[in-house]
Formats: sequence, C-alpha cells, structure tokens
Amino acid sequence: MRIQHTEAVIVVESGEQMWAVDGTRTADDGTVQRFRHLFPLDTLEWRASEYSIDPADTAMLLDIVLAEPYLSEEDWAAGHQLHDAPDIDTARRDHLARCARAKLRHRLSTRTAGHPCRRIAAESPLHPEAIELKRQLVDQARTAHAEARATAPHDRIAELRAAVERQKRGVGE
Amino acid sequence: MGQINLPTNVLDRLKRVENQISRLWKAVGLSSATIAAGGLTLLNNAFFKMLGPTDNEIVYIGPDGLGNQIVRIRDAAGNVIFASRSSGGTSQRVAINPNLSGPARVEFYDETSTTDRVALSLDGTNFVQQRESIATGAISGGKVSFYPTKSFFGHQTGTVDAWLQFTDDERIWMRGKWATQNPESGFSALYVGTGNAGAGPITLVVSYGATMAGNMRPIVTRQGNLADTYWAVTTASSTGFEVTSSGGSSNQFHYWIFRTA
Repeated sequence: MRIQHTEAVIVVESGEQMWAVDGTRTADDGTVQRFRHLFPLDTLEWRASEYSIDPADTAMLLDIVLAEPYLSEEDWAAGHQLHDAPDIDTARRDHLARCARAKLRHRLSTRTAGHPCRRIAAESPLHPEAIELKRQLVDQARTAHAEARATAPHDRIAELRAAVERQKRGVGE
Repeated sequence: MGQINLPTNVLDRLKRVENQISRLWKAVGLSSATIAAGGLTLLNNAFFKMLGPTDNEIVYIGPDGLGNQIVRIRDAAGNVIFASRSSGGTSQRVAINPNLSGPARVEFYDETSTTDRVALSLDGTNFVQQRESIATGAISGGKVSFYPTKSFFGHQTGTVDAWLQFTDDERIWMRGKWATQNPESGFSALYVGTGNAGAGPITLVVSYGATMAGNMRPIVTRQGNLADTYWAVTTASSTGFEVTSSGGSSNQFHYWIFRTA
C-alpha cells in the first residue's frame, strides 16, 4: 500500500480546532481509497516532549505523526514503548525505528518540496514552556505507570471480604 | 539539752508571717486566682502563656517578636494545632463559627484571593462544602454537598453547572458535557470527539495528540445516510485509531474511546 497526502487544513470538530490531512491509499492491486487523518493542533508538541526531540526538527516530528497510523501490531510489539521503556533514549530509538519501517513499507514521503503537510510543521504550536511542561507530565506519567506495574495483583478474597464488611457496617469507601 | 522559753508574741508574729507569705503567693500566681468581676487586659506587648510539665508552650497569646499580636495553641508534642497568622498575605485564614447566631460553619480564606473563600457548613441536615463569594456567600466553584436524600460532587457558578448527583433511590445524574481532545498526558480515562470524513468509501484516522498509556478501546458510531454501507473500526493503538466506511454520501463518526490496562 502506498500513502499519499493531498491537502492539510484546519477544521473544527466538536468545537475544537484540529489538523485534517486528506490523502489516498493505493493498494498493491491498484485500488485507491481516500482517507482523512484528524489530530489535535499540538500533536507535534506532544511528540517533541514525549521523545525529547528537538522541536526545531519539525520534519522528524511530522514523520512520526504521519507514520503512526500505519504501524502494525508487529511494529508496536518490537522494542519498547513510551510508558514502559527504561529511559526516553530507548523509547525514542525504538519508536523512530518502527516509524521508519512504516514509512518504507508504505512509501510514505513527507519531505518532498511542496509537500502539503509542510504547513503543519510550519504552523503547529511548539512553545518551549509548553514542551517543558508536557515533558514533566510525561515523566510523571511514566513514573505512575511503573508504579502501577509494580503493584501486587488485587487480592480478590480480601476485596470481597471488605465489600461484605462495608455493607454490614454501613461504612462508605 | 535545756528548754528555751520564747515570748508568746514571737509565735504570733511567726503565724502572721506565714499568712502573709501565703497571700503573697496567691498574688503572684503560684496558687489559684479567680476574677469575680471585670476582666484581664494585657497591654504593651504583655503576653498570656500556659506551659506544660517541661515548660513546653501549650497556649500563647501575645506578641510574636515581629510586632504582631498572635494566638497560638500547641499539643503536648509541640505541634501547632491552632494559630492566627502573624504577618503577610491575608491575615484571616480560618474562621470557625463566624456567625454566632448562624449555622455551624468553618471558613477557609485564600492567601491571595480577596474575593472568594471555601466554606464547610452544616445547616439543618444539609452538609455543604463549597467555594463561595466572600461578599455574597454565593457558590463560585467546586462543591461537595450531602443532603438527606441526595449528594452532589461538582463545580457550580451562577451560570455554569457540571456535577454528579447520587440519590437515595440509587439513581445517578450527570450534568455537563464531555471534554474533547483531552489526552491528560496519556492517562485520560476517556477520549471523545467527532470526525467528519465526507463521502465514502473513506477511512477516518484519528490521532489523540498525546501517546496514551495502556490500551485504548474505541467505541465508534457512524452518522450518515442509510445507503448500502458497512463500516468498522479497522485499527487501534496507543496513538490513535481508524474507522473505514464502504460508502455513503456522508460519513460523520462519533467516537468514545476508553482506556484500560
């Protein structure tokens, strides 16, 4: 399948502004299907924060956002993901590798001159303070996720006993 | 040893001295003191203090060394359990039962806001905790209310309400609207929205913005004309999902995506 983008515009959906990227997918048998890709205006900002990517490297940020919809289950299973990687460098390395595979597989080009999606790179918000605050949020999220993974499994018998006791005594949670 | 005879008036004088000392002790506070009328007024940075067995401060009313008069109560371990603010910011911080003839009430005053406070009150059988206007007492933000037959948890101003209500017959009410584009740095329990893809066949791809933690489970429905159209959610991941329609002159998709482990 080959992915081609034809236009990038800002639309309003449910009262929120979003990027809308229109394009076509050409299957190996020649069948062409249209698509519309919607994403929040600050998606590039999120990727810069999440993977500690230089916000000036908008081409790389755009590559990631446009390739992600075409990652297969196998792509996601290969390597670490953002919230369970031992560190951000590892998460970035693995995510860039899977996005590169998807781009290659679908002949997805985003860096040609006059590419319609270049306006996304040029016009998306990439505010330094927002990026830093989002980076802190991602750090907190990764810590919370690690703690959740380390938590012992629920003791269902203890939970049932506690539920019965609460009902018996009329005690709230 | 032979007996020493003292004149009788020496013993009398000794008893008078003992009585005088007793009266003196009372006067300086080494025994009990009772004020039967009038009052006790401290002037010129005088202070009132109550000490514990190791001379630890229990109650202190007086100057704080910065020229401000304060009230402070500590527990036996020395922790402050009640204190007035000495200086800086808003001097009023906590008011307990400020209206002597009103309902039971505790008010918390903001360090920076001079317009709003948070109050806990029990009026009759209604317990209410809310942010409110200092001037009018009208609700101006978050609230938790327990009434005899229903409870509220939410946010309310004069014109906007968003809350959950639980009633004593097990009904649950919700008022407000779902926030769209709210990934909460990957931890939002729900991601909702709408996407208009136009005429089919077409695929709508939606990215969440933030990369989500855990698994996202899309619930999607199509709004469009009743043509010979079939559609399905074809992929979903931590960054987005896609839904594909086989036809139709219009395809608007409404999505509700919940997060699980």
